Amino acid sequence: MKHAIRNLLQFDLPYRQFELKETEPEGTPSFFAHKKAGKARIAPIEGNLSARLETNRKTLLALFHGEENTDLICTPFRIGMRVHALAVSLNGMADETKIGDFILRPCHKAQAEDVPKRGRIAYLAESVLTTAETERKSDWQSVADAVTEGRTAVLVDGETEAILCDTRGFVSRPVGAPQNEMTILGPKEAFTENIRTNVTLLRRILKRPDFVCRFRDAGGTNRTKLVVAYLDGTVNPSLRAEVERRLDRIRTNDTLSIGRIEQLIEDYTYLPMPQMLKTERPDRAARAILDGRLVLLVEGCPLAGVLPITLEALMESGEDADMRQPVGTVVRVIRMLGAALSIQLPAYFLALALHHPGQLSSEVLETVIASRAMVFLPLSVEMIFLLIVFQLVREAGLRVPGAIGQAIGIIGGLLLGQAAVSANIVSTVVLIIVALTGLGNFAIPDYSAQVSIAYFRILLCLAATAGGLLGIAVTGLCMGALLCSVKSFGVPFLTPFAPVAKRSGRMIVRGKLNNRAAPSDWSNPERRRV
Amino acid sequence: MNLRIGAFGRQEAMSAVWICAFASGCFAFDNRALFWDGNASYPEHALAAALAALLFVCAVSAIRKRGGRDLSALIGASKGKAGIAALLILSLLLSAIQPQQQFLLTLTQYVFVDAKQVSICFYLLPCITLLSVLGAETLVRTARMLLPLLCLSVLAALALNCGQARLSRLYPVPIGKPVKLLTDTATALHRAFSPLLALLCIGVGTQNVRTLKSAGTLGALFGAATVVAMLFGLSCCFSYGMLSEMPAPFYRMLVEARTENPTLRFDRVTLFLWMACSMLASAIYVYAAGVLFCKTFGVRDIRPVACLFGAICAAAILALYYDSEPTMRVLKLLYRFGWTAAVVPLPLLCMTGKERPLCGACS
Repeated sequence: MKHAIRNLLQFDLPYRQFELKETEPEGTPSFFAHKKAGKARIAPIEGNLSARLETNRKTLLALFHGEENTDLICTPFRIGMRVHALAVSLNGMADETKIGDFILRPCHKAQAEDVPKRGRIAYLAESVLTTAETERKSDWQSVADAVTEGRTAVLVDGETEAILCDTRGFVSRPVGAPQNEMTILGPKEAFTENIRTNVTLLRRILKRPDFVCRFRDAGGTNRTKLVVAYLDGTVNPSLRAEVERRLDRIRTNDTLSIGRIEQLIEDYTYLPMPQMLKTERPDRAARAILDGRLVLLVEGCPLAGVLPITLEALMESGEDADMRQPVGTVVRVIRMLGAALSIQLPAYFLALALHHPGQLSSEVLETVIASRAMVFLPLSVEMIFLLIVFQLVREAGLRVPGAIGQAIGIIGGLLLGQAAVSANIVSTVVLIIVALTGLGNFAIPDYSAQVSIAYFRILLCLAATAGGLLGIAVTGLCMGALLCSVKSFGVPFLTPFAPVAKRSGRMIVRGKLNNRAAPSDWSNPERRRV
Repeated sequence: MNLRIGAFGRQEAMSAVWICAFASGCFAFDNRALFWDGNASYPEHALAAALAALLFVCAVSAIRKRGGRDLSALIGASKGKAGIAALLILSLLLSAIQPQQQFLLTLTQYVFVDAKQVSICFYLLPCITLLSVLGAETLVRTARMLLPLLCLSVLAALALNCGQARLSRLYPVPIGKPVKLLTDTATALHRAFSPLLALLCIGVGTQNVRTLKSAGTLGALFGAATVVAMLFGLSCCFSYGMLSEMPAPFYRMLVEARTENPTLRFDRVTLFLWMACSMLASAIYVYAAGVLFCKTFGVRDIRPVACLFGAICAAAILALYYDSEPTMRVLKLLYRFGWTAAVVPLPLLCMTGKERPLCGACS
């Protein structure tokens, strides 16, 4: 406080505030700084293990910044009370019980005379250590990767190899019920942040040997684990190769969620519609895999990315197939109606009220005029303002935790709406239209699709304001053509309508449940019969 | 080459032909000439559609025999290919202009009475150019998406007008005037064949020539059925005397239906749906003309050509507005005898050129 007052009143004092210093060798950044930022390069860890244990220990400490990273545990021990060795792990990532039971205790118990003078690593791996999975590596990169994953590296004096034992045992969230894709009839399991748990959840559903989960890095230098899951022999090989190629191109370290990865490998950056289905339900992901699609899982992300994606999949709920045929059809019709209302209703109303009032009956017209008698905002501004307020309430409701979020949605809707009508900012007719639009929007099952439709809605409202039904027709045609031109990983977005393709079930009017043992035709699967 | 043709199937190609047939068949350039001395528009169109389908089948057979997959196989093998291509491009551009001119007229007369044609052109023509730049794959898929709506609207329009239909209004059919019947059928032939000509230009996008043939034939058949039904419905609603004086007869038909059933106010929505279909048809024509131009003259990118042809269409429509009478006269003349540009070169092309052995993809 004293310094602040002195700084304020005395002008001759040196500048004492903290200032971030440039670390770039050039000193001054260029005018377009981002262009000169260059690539973030972190060189891979080079070199192999030394035969001297002390040298290896020092290298490890340097590698992991042992002075600062106090969670790096280097446990020295002796094999058969004779040969010096070192167990290296990260506290919290590795299970201490497993280290004690399966590494340290067997090593202590080993007989001194049994320990050979050469080939101790092979002896340890084959005859002493009792962990389920062991691996022998001689390069520092592999050792560092293993330790950061939660495995334990066992280094032995006089040996240039390390044994990497699987002792992973970090804390993770248990499998719970889905939060956003709730169903009444379907299963109640959701993906977690643990990638191995997620793979297990899928494997429990897909009990077949041709189900492949390929583990790989998500790109960049962070080595975030990513799984590409598919049915070998069913998925289109060119799709698999293309996805792998796009994943190989990733250079950034910002690959910590499926949404980021989607943006890094998609085709159309500026299209609001999602190009990958993000689901938290293992059953939905498994169904997609059976249909010849690919599923991506990322470590630390409780969502699976399904690709390629079509509009049909975005409009499908997890339990559609579980419902009876007539009920399922009615639900789908209502959902499609909701989506159509959500996109077109505000724009249609604006067009009719502003440009084609003759299309409204005199009763409706009188009601509109009476409700807008004291409203000072122009109709189009009023509509767009309310649509934005709706998005605001929705966004606030999502970000505020738990029950308060729901309360904000209800209170915001009721109080704001009532207050806005009383203050003559908006009219009741427009309020009802926006409420119907909001309800229709919530009928769309996919969250990304819900959000993206808001852009189309606003665009149509602007077009309706400018040109009435002419504006809607022109904009709608352009939007339709745009969606027809979009492809998600080579599959047209509007498949199976345009182009027409055989599929497992109809989108709106649900037919009899398909008893064909074949995946959908549109993904051009390698094998027609599964 | 960046021609953006892509790949599409039978249903998409058929939908594109159907929508183009609807736009070209229903929205005639010159109603006065069509109805001035009796009403034979619907049998003429049926006959013209049959002739167009026959011509299309012949052209496809000729393409197949030459081992090609689209019209460029015929044009490339002929002498004077630049002239023939220019004629066909002219025909396609005329087909693109025709429905837009009709809709501009309708919109300025009935919907936006105070608006100028130029301001409405600002909505229509950039959209057509944009669509034509997107390529054949997008266009035919959009057609596939629009087709169910179009069919529904046509059925609704016809059903709502049942109440005011009088068969007596079909009289007189000008049977005693063979020259008029012949010229009108020839003009209708141009309208019926334009969609098939566009499909022939982009035929390489279909899987094979057999798909091209079936898609074109089915599209022409269904398109002709739609147009004949619409023309028949129109003829039942208005006498030929009224029709020859009416600027936008199909919209008037919708308005009449609304007057009969005041609770069903879908006339504007239907009008704009048909307008969207006609814009798509125009875009298909512009794109097909662009593909033909690129393939004939070796231009490697469709985009500048499509933009240029879109601008030409815009200029022609605006010229109608600014310099109405002379331009209208020229366009009416072109439209009346434009069928020769599209129809006459094709039999010649089918007859000339060497036959090549069939390849696998062409069978």
